[in-house]
Amino acid sequence: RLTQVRWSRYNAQYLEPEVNRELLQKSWDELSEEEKAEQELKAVRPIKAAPSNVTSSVFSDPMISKFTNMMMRDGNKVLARSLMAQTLEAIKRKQLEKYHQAPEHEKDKIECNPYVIFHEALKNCQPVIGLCSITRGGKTYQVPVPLTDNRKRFLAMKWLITECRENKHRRTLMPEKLSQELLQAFHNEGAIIKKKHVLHKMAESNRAYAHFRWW
Amino acid sequence: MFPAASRYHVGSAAISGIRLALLSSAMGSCCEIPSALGRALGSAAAAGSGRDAQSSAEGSRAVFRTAESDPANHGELHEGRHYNIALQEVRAVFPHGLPSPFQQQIKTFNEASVMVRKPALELLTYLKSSSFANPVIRYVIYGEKGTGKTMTLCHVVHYCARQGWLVLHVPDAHLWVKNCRQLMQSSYKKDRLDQPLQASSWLKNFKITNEHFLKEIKTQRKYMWGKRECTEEGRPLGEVVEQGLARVRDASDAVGVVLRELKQQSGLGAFRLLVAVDGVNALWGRTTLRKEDKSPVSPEELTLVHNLRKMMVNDWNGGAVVTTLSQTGSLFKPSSAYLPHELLGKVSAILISPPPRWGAEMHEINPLDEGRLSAFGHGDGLMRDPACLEELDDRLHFFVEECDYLQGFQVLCDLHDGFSGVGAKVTELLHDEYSRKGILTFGLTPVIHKTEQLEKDVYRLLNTALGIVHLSTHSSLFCPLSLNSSLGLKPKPPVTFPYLNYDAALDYHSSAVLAAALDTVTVPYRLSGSPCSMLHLAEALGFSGRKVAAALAAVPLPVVHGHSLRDTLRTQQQGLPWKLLSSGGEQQVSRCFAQSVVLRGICKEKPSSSFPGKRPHSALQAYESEEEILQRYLQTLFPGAFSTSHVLEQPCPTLPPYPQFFSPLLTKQGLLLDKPLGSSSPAVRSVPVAAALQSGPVLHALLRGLHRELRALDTRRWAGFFAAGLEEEDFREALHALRALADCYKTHLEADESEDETDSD
Repeated sequence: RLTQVRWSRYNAQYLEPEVNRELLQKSWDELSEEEKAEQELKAVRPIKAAPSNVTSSVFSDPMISKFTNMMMRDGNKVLARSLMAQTLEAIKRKQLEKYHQAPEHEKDKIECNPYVIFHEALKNCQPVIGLCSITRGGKTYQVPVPLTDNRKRFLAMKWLITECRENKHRRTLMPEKLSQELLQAFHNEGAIIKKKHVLHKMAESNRAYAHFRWW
Repeated sequence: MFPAASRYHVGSAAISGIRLALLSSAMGSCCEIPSALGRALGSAAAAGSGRDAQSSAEGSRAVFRTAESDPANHGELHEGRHYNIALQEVRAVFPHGLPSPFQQQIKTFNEASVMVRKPALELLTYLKSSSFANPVIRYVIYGEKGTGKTMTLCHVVHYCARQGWLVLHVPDAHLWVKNCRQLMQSSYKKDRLDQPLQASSWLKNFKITNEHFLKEIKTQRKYMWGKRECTEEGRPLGEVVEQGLARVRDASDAVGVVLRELKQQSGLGAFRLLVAVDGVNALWGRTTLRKEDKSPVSPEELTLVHNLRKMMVNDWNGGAVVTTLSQTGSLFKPSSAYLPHELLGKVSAILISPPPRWGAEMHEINPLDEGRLSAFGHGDGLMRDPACLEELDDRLHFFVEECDYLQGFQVLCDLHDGFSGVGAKVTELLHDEYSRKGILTFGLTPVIHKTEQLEKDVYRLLNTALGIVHLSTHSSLFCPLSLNSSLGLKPKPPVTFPYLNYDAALDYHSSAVLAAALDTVTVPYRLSGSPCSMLHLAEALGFSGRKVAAALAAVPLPVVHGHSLRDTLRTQQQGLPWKLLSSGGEQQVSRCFAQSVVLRGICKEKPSSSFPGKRPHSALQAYESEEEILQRYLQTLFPGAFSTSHVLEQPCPTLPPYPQFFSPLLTKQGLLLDKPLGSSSPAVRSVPVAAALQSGPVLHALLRGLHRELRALDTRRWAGFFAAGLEEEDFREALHALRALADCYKTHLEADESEDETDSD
């Protein structure tokens, strides 16, 4: 009889904690039906403990947290977080410089919020379709396959981080390079966007194998 | 809950704008609110409706800014606000010198805004009010890391650049003592080392800041660069800088030449020089540089450091030296060090304040800490120290043996601080050893023109009283000398003299007046031909216990040009216009017991001025000697008093360094004119002076007043004074002695008021 080694200590009854503040600030009438049902369920069910990297603070962002965790090496969260903060500061500084030197009518178009840029860049980097290696009759085919949201996000972040780790000059620091890449991705240019396009082209060219997919 | 929701609503952009401003700490644009709504706000704000958010944010941020961009006009109301420096000015004034985080901020926000801080304002007031004829003042800015020392320095540099000074800005002296790739042996001095790269980069930046000065300032000497090239005398300084830049090998020497020329020429007044050094503790620290034989280099061996150290000495004038101490970048200093003595070490004693050196004419006793001589007991205790006593004895014996005929001792002593204790002890010593010689003591107090803390005033009062009592006991005659109007706690306006415009606040002036009076009063026993000695004088004035005498002087005596003594005295029938110099105020002295009067500077009467056969005008015109004339005059003024008089033809010399504070109505010889000579009145070389030492009833009032004020004090409150070494018993005895001394001068007229007072000691 096999027992799973990695399993949650909570039983199925436990519900996830609600971190989103805006939901709590809505009045009862503003809630939709599912939300109302959820709130009623919470009255009777136990709630899991919130993990320590999840807060209701205005400054916490799940995407940024996930990205920081992916950047982390050997469990050095402090370093990863500081690199993330420096990256966002670098993005802000670059955009502010552009903003202050731009003429009046163009000032509106310059986006200065680094969080906005980060999310937009990640969104631009996400592939729409992925490739999966499926072996049929001894040959491995690259089959185009739809990707889940999580997988898309993961791929975008992974490409970003590997690109910044590998293809940079020895002396440039991570925040500098990352901020460059993010800004380029925000404007739909740069190496990661190119990689995404390459993937899309591969998927397009391997359309014929699409029927190999059984899910 | 519900009001909080509106924070993230796009509609209430005004409120969110202010919060954004506070959250983003004066950064240029919208703050980052990462939630989903915040994202919407961010993108919306960047588009059309955000205009309101931005303008309202900027409007609310205006409270942190000021439009005053000229540092000369910065005052207290600009404190804590940021002012902008135009970017071209930043490039011109600060090619180097701004800290690198600040330079990054300039790049990001496209503006340079500096905060006006209180220490910077203080420094600017000092710079504005300093006199450039005096030796240069060295300011040191110190503090913990990140508190704004370099930015304060830059503020001051900006002010000086705006005012047209020549700015010598060394951005970080630590860069000159570490990480030097090329260390060359100097061609000028064999044991020094040159740093061509650092010197040339500094010269380049110096040229950018001070272009216009380099054309105007000319060299005063010929300088040889190597064997063939030279810069002639009279060439503009720019040529020296060009030479340093063109030939990098000569750059360090060029820097030395520039520094030397500027130091010499700044005193001439053509320009003002500001030497601004950041991290000045590097000049006296250690270096991490090594010579080729791996031996460490000390800072003196570097040409640049050696030349800069010479600028730090205050032997030049016409500018200011503002420096900063910095631990960041310093070598071999712990990161917690920020105080001057930690970062500078022994040099701080020279650089920051001169150590208090106390050397009088005779004594060279160890320098004392400031404030240790504030009470009588301190001075007393000092003189009990056997080393001091021995030294005093040695010196006394030395001088006494040199004398042919020792008349006595003249002791001049400050009464207002603990020095009165020293003087008392010294006089006691002299009295014990040389009892047959005269001891004349003069107790001096500076002019007090405003009340300081009550403690200081009370200490002054106590010191004065104790000094008077002790000095008069042990000496043959004591005379208090001061331009104060009263010895008590409340200061009154100081004594004024006609024809003399002196500044009572300056010790220089008041001591000059007292010196003239002292010089005149002591003439009777100092002249070689005079029969009376110091002891005779003392005994004449101080009989039956009257050990205190008052001094009066008229500085200058108003003698009209061409008048003789007779004419002068005839015009002054009410009395000579002299003022009491013994803290009695502006009382008119009408009676005295005994006096010794000296008049000097009046020309002798020419015999031909009166025709033979002409009837004499007054009793004074019979053929008499000058002294007899004066004696008669004094008899008429002070009947019943015992007066001795001396008349000298030689006036009191007032050549420099004597201050020139006489009225323009006086000639070069100090004689009076009807109207001033003209716009250029000549310097007064000598003045006639009339001075007297009197013992009279005026001293009763003086000493009585002092006694009354002392009795009114509560000794328990001033226990600190007594802790210095004075016993309560001694104090009581001194009070009694003062009372007795005051009563010596009592005449029957004052007897009535004194009977009313009860002695409740």
